[in-house]
Amino acid sequence: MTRIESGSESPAFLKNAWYVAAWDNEIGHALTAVTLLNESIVMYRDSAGKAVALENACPHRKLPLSMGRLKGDDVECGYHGLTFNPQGACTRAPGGQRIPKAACVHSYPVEERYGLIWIWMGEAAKADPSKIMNVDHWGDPAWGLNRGDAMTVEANYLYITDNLLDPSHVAWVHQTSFGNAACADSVPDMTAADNGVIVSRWMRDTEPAPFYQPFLKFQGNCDRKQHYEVRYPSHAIIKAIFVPAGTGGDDKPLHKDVFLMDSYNFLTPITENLTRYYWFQMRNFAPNDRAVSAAFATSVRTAFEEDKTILQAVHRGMNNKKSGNIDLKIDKGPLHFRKRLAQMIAAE
Amino acid sequence: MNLTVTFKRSGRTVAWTEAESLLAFAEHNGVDAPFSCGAGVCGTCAAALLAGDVTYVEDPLYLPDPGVVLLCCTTPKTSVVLDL
Ligand code: FES
Ligand code: FES
Ligand SMILES: [Fe+2]
Repeated sequence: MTRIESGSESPAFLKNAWYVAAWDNEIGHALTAVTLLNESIVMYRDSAGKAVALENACPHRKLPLSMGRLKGDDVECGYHGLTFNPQGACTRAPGGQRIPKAACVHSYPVEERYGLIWIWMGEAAKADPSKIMNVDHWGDPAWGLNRGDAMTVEANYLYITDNLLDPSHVAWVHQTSFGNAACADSVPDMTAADNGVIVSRWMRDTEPAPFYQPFLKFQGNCDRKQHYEVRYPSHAIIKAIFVPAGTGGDDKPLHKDVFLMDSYNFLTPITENLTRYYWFQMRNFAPNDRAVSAAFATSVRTAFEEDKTILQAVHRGMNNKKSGNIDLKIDKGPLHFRKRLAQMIAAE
Repeated sequence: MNLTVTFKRSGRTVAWTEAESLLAFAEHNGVDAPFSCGAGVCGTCAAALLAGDVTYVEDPLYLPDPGVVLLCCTTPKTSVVLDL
């Protein structure tokens, strides 16, 4: 039997996919170098404010174009002045020579959505903006948003997708925030869909976890659902549902006092060993309450730092094994995700 | 239908009684079978099926090679002989 070990890194990344390149305010009318999926890319906004992403290597001597200058909407190489427009075509060659056919750089399709700049890393002809993950309730006046943040994690992105398909870890990693006793032992269900994997479970009649407690509209115990979903290649929706104890269930309508929080987590591999992690949260209450957004932003950041510490150490541990490692029942969702993604990568 | 499970290496044949899997059944009968995930994920419980046929009661992540079964995800379809 051929297995993908949880420790072995995927041979590559899925190229034909949308990834988050940056928050929209991170890119302005200035050359900014970023590395995504091991590719060096130069980003900027043109004079109309449209984001541009070009291969960051001049076709002459491969000087990074990010070391050159913006000339209007074009980029001029800092060595001999080859100049490229936002489509990657050369508009000027030095010494009055004719522009060679091969003087062009790859221009990556870019879209802005949800305050993020998305980039298509595969064949440009296949880029379809309607494939960018949909965010439910975006712009709905009844829902609040905390715009979130980003962090760089020194770990392969698949250790993070493992984590985002593993609701059990909150019992140990987030004891003081998201976790409650019930998180440790109830067994989740796994659903394999075409676009990703879902691991979810209802926990009945439990004490609300400390992080959520102050925001609940009801007293006493709750039924709590954890919905952990990761879509290919590496975008997660983590939904938290709290309803008064006895009223929860997939077959029941949501109680009027339901607490809903959808956490969106977008992972962009920088290299095999480094990942950029973007997130924001949507909630079904206090839409315009800045204090609530700020409280969430702080708590989420604290929790994600807890994950980061663990995942970086897991990455180091798995890359430096002195003895074998084992897989447990809770690894079913994560390993299914890895298997399917590896197949998709192999099929490219 | 009365099915039997033969543990070849242990030299025992036992009548099958309802159990969640062949792995659980082996354990109930004091036959040592290695496992890790118990859920068709890791492949640790793979054992050679010397005779008979099994039903997969849980979908494993990877199907084992022909002639090998994952004890944690299967129950006997016919009487079986396991290399255990
Ligand atoms: S229990 Fe999972 S790393 Fe130790
Ligand atoms: S014990 Fe892991 S596959 Fe059976
Ligand atoms: Fe976590």
